[in-house]
Order: sequence, then C-alpha cells, then structure tokens
Amino acid sequence: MSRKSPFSKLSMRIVGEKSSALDLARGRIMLIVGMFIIIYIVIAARLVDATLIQGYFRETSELTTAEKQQDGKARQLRRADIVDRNGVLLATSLKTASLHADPKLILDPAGTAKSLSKIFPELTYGETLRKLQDAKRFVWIKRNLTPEEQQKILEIGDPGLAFDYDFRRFYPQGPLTSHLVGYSDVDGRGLGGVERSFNKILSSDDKPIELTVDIRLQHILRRETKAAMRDFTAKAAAGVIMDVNTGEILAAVSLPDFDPQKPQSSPNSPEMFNRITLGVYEMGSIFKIFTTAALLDKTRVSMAQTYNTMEPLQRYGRKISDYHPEKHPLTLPEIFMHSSNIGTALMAEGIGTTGLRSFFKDLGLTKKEDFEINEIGTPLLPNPWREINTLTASYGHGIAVTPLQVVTAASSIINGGYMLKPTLIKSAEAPEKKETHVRVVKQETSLKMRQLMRLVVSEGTGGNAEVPGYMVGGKTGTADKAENGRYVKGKRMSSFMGVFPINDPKYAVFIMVDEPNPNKKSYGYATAGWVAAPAVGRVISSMAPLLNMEPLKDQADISEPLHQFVSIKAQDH
Amino acid sequence: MKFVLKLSSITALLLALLAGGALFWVSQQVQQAEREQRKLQQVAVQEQEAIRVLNAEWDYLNRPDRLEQLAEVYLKMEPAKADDLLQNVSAIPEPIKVPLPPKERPVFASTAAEPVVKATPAPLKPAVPAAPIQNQEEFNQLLETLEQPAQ
Repeated sequence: MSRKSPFSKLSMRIVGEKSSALDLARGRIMLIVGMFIIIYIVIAARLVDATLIQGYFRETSELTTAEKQQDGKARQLRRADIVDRNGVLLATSLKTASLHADPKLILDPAGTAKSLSKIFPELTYGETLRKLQDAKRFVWIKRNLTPEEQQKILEIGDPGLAFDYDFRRFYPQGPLTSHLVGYSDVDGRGLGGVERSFNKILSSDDKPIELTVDIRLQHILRRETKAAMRDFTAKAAAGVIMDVNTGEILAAVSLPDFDPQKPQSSPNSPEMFNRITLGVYEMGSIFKIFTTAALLDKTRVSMAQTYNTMEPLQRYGRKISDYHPEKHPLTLPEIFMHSSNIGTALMAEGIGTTGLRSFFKDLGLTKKEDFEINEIGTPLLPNPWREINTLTASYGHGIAVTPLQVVTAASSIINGGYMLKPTLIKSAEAPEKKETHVRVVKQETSLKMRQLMRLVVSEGTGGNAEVPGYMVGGKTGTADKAENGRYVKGKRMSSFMGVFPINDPKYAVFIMVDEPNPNKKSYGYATAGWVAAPAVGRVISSMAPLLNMEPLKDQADISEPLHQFVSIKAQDH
Repeated sequence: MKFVLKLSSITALLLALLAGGALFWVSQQVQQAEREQRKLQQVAVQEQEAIRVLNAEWDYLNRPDRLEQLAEVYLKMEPAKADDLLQNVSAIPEPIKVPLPPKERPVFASTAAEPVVKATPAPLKPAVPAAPIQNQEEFNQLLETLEQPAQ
C-alpha cells in the first residue's frame, strides 16, 4: 500500500470476507463525490451568470425600471387634452424638462454659467455662477425647457446639470378660445372655462374633451368682432355663433381677451371677464323678438294690427318715446322693422305682465343659465316687477341677461319653436333631435317671426347684415347704457341677432359691441344697424362658404307677404 | 467489483446536461428579449411624447389667423366667396356643344372574316367599325351580309 496519492486508495482492491460491503460503501462515496461536483458546477455557472452576464447589463436594466416608475407616476398626472369639434388641439399637456444642478458635481462653474447665460438671455452670468457655487446640493436653474434648449444644455455636458420632467399645459390656439377653454395654473389646476368646470375629469381621465367649437368659425367671429370693436373704438365686444337646431356653440368670443399661456395677473382685469356667459346686459330692441313672439303666440293679433305710436306713451308716471316718431299708426311688422318702443310697449300691454313674465321664464331668460362652464351670470330682473317694468322689459330695458341667454332664446323661437339647451361639450352620440325638446312657441309663430326678422334685414334697420344668397334675418338692438341709475345718451350697447338661412334656419350669429363711437364710414351713427349688423353680415359671408352652404340667389323672400302692411321706410336705430 | 456506467445512465446524464444547457440558453434568450422589449418600450414612450409635441406644434403653426396672414402675404388666393361655390354637378355650365353628325344605325355588323393581324381579343361590342371601303363591289358585299337576318 503506498501513500503516494490520496486517490490511490480509490483504486485499491479489497479482497476478503467483507469485500462486498466495502465495495458498496465505495460506490456510495463515488455518488456523493459526483453530486458535489455537479453542485459546484451549477454554482460556478450561476456565478458566471450573475457576475459576468447579468452584471454587464445591470446598469441599463436598473435605469429602465426607474424610468418606468417615473413614467407610471407621470401618466397619472397627465391632464387630458381639450380639442375642438374637428380634433384641433385647444389645450394639451406636454412633458417638459426642467434644469437643476448639483453644485458639488459641477466641474467648471464659470464655463457652465457662461454657456447657460448664452442659452437663456434672461439668466445673468453672475446670478447663475452664484447658484452653481452654492453650498446646497440642489438648485433650480430653469423650469420648463423647450426640446431645443434641452439639447443645447446636453451639449454643455457638465455632469452637475440634471433634468427633472413634469407636465406643462399648452394652449396652441393662444387667445382664440381663451374664455371657453379657460386656463390653468402651474400645478395643472383649471382656473377658468372648461379647464375649471371639468377639472376633475381632465385630471383623472386621459380621453380628450371635445368641444362643439369650430376654431375656423371662432377665428372668423373673433376677427370680425375685433374689427367692429376697433372701427368704432369700442370698449368691449362679444359674439356667439350657435347651431339653432342643436344648441351647440360653434364659436363664442369675448373681447378684450387674454392669452391662456400667460393670463393677466389680476382675475378682475377686463381681459379676464367673460362677456358671453358671465356679463349681464340690457339688450335693448333685441328683446322685441321675444315680446312680438309672445304676442303672436298667446293672442289672436294679426299682422295687420295697428298701434298708435304717434304720441309718446305716458304710463305710471314714465314716458316711453321713439327715436324717430312716425306721423301715423304703425302696423305690427312696421313696429318690428322700425323698432318702435311705443308700439312694443303697447304690444306688451296686450300680453299682460303675467303673460310676458311667464314667456320670458319659458325662454330661460329669468334664471341662471344651465351651462357647462362655471362663469355664469344671474339675470337682473325688476324687483318688484311692476306694470311699468313689463313695458320697459318689452323693449329690453330694465332687464339684464347674458348674451348666451339671448342667443339661446332667439334660436329657440326661430328653429320652429323648440327650446334649446346651449352646449359646449360635444356629445359622443348624435345631438338630440330638437323634436324631443320642450316647445316654447307654435310652429306658426316661429314662421311669422322668421318673416318679421327677414323684413328687418330686407327692408328695415338690419339691412347692413344682408349677404346675397344666404337669406339673413335678424334684429338690431341698441340700448342706452345705465350709469349710476340713469341712462346715458351717447353710451350704447349695439347688438345684432342674425339668423340664416331664414327659410330653413341653421345658424344664429350674435354680435354685441359695448360703447361704440360713431365714425365717418357709419355717417356718424353708432347704432346697431351700423355697428353690429355689418359685422354679422361679414361673419356670415365668411362662414357660409366655409361650411359648404350653397348660395340660393333666386329664392323667394319670405318677408314678401308682409310688404302689404309696410308703408314706411325704415330708419336706423 | 468494477464500477460500471451503464449506457442508459450515460444517456440520461447527457440528456440532463443537454437539458440544463438548453434551459440556461433559453433563460438567457428570454432575458435578452426582455431587455430589448424594455428598450423598445422606452423608445415608444419617447416617440409618443415627441408625437404629442409635434401635434401641438402643428396646431400652433396652423392657427387660422397665422394661415390667413401667410396666405395674404405669399399667395394670390383669397377666401372663398358665396359666388365661388358650386354645390352640384348640374351647376357646372354645360360645355359648348359642337354639332355632331346625326346618329345613324351602324352600317357594318361584324364581318365574317376577322382580320388575321388582330392579336387582341375581340372587343365586347358586336359592331366593329370596319376598315374604310375600298370600292363599290366590297360595299355591296357588305350590304348583302347586313340584309341577311342573324342566324
């Protein structure tokens, strides 16, 4: 037996009585040795895997999980988009990088500060350098970078500069839809318009909210309203385009407006005020639409009915007079196209206080409008409502409502008599058929009102709104503005409520100009027929071809049958 | 007694080793694929973000007032007016009618002998315009074929 090698024992041969038992033992030892060898091979393989193969990619995989977590967090925070009816972005949230620095890791503070002040002119070299040499481990340099700026910073390549990502709200259309879409603060909380009223939905669901607005029409309306405001050096203006069959708001502007990207610092500045839904105004003669409709709907008065408008009306210690008194009694169509206050007040007497009040109530003119944004004005009604208030309210004085209410009420009368509910949010399903709405006036009354409104444009005060081929109908409204409880001559609210095509009404266009001043082109007038009516005409002549509406030149004028009752030539007011 | 490895044991051992190797290889492949997928997902997220930025920029650059201004400066076009619109085909003015010769009954039915040169398949119309008539005789012949009722 030699002791040369430990393995030599393994090859030894054992002979004798107990050799078989020893052989068995040796076999077992071999098995155990084999198992250990296999286990160590497995451990070795796992070590290679864990240290070499996994280790090689470790860094990147860790990074992706970190990014993934951040991304998950970010996806929750992203505010949903707001788009117009054609899918054009009105508000969107974009991931933007913000630059911060760890002064300890900055290699070359002077050089980096110099390059940074070159990229951002608003960052001064001295201030940036001070920040980069700060004792803190974290300093903000610049929030919300553009991708281009970010690229330039990456090119500086200083290891101490790092980015943080968050979302920022962008309004690609700028001031175009400022009052409808609204605006939001840095933390993505809605502060106005749809941004505010739909804040919860916008921040929880990432499906975009689709508005009924068409930005092309919005632009046309804004352009023309702005032009009217500029031409007549007015204080403010507002405009609305509504689909008279569905109540959808296709465009609505309130001027002056603001850029939602950088809203005015004070929420009380005139730019921030929503004149469409929040402002309440005495609308003047536009209310004659409602009074006349009430008379035609509730009484048996015919178009041939005449009223004595030769003398100013003395009632309850007040005097109601006309701008241009006529020397003979006026028929109903004459009163409407001539916009006679006396005549309309007499008509209101025919309806009675209860009748007119309940009619105004049916039209939704007496209470706060139910609408999808929070900035809603409450109408100002005479309180208590005396008989005299009925007479003044009949021609739109002593009662103040929002432009949106006027447009909705007038559209409801014109569309066949179905009450509309104004809406700004496009519903997923097709808009409700108007036949399911509540009826406010008879079909017949609606038709008569169309005739009367056509007469105003073809023969009366609204002639400047005419667009050949599109059969515009409408009503002018010029209201004296009240200041400190007294009406001020020369300070007016000129508005025009237009509907087209009047034979089969589709759209209502309303423009209101606050305190217009006469100019040379309007021959010294600053009344609705010269201020708002031409603006509405221009809007219609731009929007109708855009909406692919065929001009019908040889169509019958529906106001034709009324001509037998008209003997005077209209004067503007 | 000699320690003998049976053939079946060797096979089993080899198979086990093979299976182990295959398992290792597959797991490596899966991890590789997962890494790839993560990377692609990351790229996709980045691309989506880029698309959002581009969409916003597109709508910003297509602001109606900007387009109007640019069109005014660079194009000789103007907004469509009511008079420019034609809604239906019938509104397009008829082209000036050139007086056509009065319509006649087709003189020539398809002749019996097809031209040999013809490579293309026969047109669907039964009446094939024939070659110009060379002489009176030919013409008479053709008339005769016409007279015969179709068989």
